[in-house]
Amino acid sequence: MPTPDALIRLQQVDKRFPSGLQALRDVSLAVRGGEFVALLGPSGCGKSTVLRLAAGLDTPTAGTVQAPAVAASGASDTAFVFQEPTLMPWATVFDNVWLPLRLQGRARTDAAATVRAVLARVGLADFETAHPAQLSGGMKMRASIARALVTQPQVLLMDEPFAALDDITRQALNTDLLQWWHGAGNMAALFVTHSVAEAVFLSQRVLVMAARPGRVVAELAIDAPYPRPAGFRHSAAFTDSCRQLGEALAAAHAAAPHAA
Amino acid sequence: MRIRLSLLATAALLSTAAVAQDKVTFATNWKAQAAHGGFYQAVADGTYKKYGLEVTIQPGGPQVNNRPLLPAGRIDFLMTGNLLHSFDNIKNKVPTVVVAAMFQKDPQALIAHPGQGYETFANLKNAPLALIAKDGQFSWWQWLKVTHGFKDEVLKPYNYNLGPFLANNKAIQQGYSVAEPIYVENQGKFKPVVHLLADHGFSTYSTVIEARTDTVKNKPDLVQRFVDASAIGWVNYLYGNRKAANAMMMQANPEMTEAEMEASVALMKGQGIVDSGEAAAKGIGAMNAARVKDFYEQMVKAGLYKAGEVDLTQVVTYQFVNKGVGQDIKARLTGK
Amino acid sequence: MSQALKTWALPALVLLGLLAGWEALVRLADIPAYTLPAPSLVLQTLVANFGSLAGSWWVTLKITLGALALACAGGVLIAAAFALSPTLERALFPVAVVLQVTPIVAVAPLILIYVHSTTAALLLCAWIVAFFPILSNTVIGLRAADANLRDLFRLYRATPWQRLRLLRLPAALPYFVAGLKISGGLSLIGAVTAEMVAGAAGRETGLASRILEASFRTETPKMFAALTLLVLTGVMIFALFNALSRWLLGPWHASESQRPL
Repeated sequence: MPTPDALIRLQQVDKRFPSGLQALRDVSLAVRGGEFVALLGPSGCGKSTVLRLAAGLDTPTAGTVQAPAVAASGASDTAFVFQEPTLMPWATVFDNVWLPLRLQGRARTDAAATVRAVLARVGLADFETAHPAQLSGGMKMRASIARALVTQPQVLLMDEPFAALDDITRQALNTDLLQWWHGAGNMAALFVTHSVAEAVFLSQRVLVMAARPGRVVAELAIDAPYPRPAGFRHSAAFTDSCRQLGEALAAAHAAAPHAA
Repeated sequence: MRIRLSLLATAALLSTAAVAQDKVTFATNWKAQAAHGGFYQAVADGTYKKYGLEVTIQPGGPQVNNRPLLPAGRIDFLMTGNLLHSFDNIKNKVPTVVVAAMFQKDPQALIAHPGQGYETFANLKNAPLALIAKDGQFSWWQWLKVTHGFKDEVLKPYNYNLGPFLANNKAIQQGYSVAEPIYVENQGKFKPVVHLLADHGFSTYSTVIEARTDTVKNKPDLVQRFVDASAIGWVNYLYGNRKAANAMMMQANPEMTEAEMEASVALMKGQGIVDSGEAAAKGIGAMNAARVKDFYEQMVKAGLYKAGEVDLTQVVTYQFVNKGVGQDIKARLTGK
Repeated sequence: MSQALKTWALPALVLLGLLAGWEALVRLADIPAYTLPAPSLVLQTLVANFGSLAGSWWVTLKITLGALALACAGGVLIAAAFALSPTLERALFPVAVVLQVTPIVAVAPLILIYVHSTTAALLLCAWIVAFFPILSNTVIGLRAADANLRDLFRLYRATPWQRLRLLRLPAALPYFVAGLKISGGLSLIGAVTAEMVAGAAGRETGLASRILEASFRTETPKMFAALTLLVLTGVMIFALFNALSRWLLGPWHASESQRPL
């Protein structure tokens, strides 16, 4: 059950880069604990910037950002999955997944059980001692997600993590991701994508963004249960949601060439 | 009239023919200094030219090693500082031979600060620091170790910079008895104690002229002319007007001064470096086999060579010296 | 076995060919031993004098490896200090550059005057020559950590020390190893140059002194024998660091990947 208070809240956020680019203008959104929200939009619409603001990796030029990672001190309670697997190439899979716990001060033996559990959950139990160079793209992404989940974060931020994978792997990971998220308690998830089908499959709410300047132009609720029923991708509701989002995206794209 | 003219013409032709110059390169073992004076004199006052030689003097220097140039045929004559180099050559089957010895006494010396107990030669080996250059380290220093008890532990390389010696009262260093003491007095403002190795058993000839064996075999006349002209050059340098020679050396070595060179000449005369012993009677360049043999045997005792390792008959040839060349000029110049 | 044979067979054949050519040249042109000795004579001389040359070899090896170890330690420590303090880097990096470009042959005599222990002076000279590639490469390497990884560490509130130890140093490893390969050869050259200029006498003479001594005494075959040992040392160091690089970087870095380029 989503909790009433938002874990992530952006209010009237502007982000202007020193180069003069207006990445975001007047963006407001909220994500509650236990919610899975997708940010959908074309390239350059500022969706990655929203994620970075929520992760505390960047600050807004105007407006406020509330999120566990933005708090001045203390554990960030936030996990980030990048577009690239972003694994340390010199370390084994085990050491990569152990890293967040290690940075919190937990020794290898102390954290071993937790690390192994999450590796098993993502299906990499047999690859503990492998180096990233020995893994396929999909496996590297699983390792990256395992690392994100190992601290049992309150907030999970994902920036088009499956964009570089083939459709089959992508769909499999989508299914698995929902399983991992749903079983992880009240985790708030904010997922950036430019795939309509992926947004519909994964989330409860889809925020459509337009570019130049980056802003939210539409919101669609996806009314389907978790876990997604078998054949969800072929259901009428799915197709319908996709159509609606497709139209919203096209409209956003048409409206794009605005002066900032 | 016609006969006189043709006689004159023939004479002119003959004289130009007689003065057809042989080009000769002579390499020394250091930058130009008074200890090379006789050779520069023979160039400057035309003695070499009179003997039909156009001589180019190629100086050596701190990082220069002219010795391989002789067997390689790049130079015609080479100056070396002592007979050890010649022994080494014969031992290694390098086809060179000594044709004359300009110095009867080797000016190689050890110098020290006065008032430190080094007035006695025997105390030198106790010095905590001995500055010896590469050339000496691998030759006469070995003799000093065996014969006089010097130790390797105190040896540090001498890079031809007086600084370390001047800065350390207890240090000793190598030098030419006719050169370094002058520089030390100029820079350090004191007269150093000087110990000639020759006074303690290092009986080698010095500033010897080496030539290739095939030059001696095929052009003995050329060699004789060069030896004779060099000896005369030395007589003129020591006893005659050496201004032109000094000027030439200062041009070749801009750091040299006239005062230093004159002081050096005085020391050469006073210590009997060039013109003493045999040379007084038989002319500058004189050598005898007994002395060469004696020196070799001493070096064998010092462990530098094995007995019979070097065929002494191949080291030196005496055919060009001991003829009293230059004695008449010396008599004229010194009024003796 | 076949792979190793293939790797070694070709260079070995080329080397043998060159040696055979050298031998033939000396014999056919009747070149005297004091100008250019034949490889057979050099080998003979090496075997005959191996006892005393081996001692000198050990001395040179000690200085080379000692200087290399100090260059590693110094280069990495200074690079780490620079990584933690950009101000320090801006202040001191030019000093490091000055040290690199100063010709060692010029300063070695001065160092010998100021430093009283000959071994320390030789180590210092060789260190000056060898440490800069390690410093420079490690500095670059410490800046080379992937941007996303940097964000990740920030997200998990890593301390500067954690960042250095777990991210920047491992990321710098390939660069450090590249610098190490260069410095391996340089420390040998530095040790030899220092000894040629500085020299030592008596018991603690290295190969450079022996080469000089042989050259002064016109014992050219002995000179070549000592040179052969020097070359062998250089080759061994090169092979050692190649193996080290494979061991450290093999599983994960592109430079050690077996895939064809």
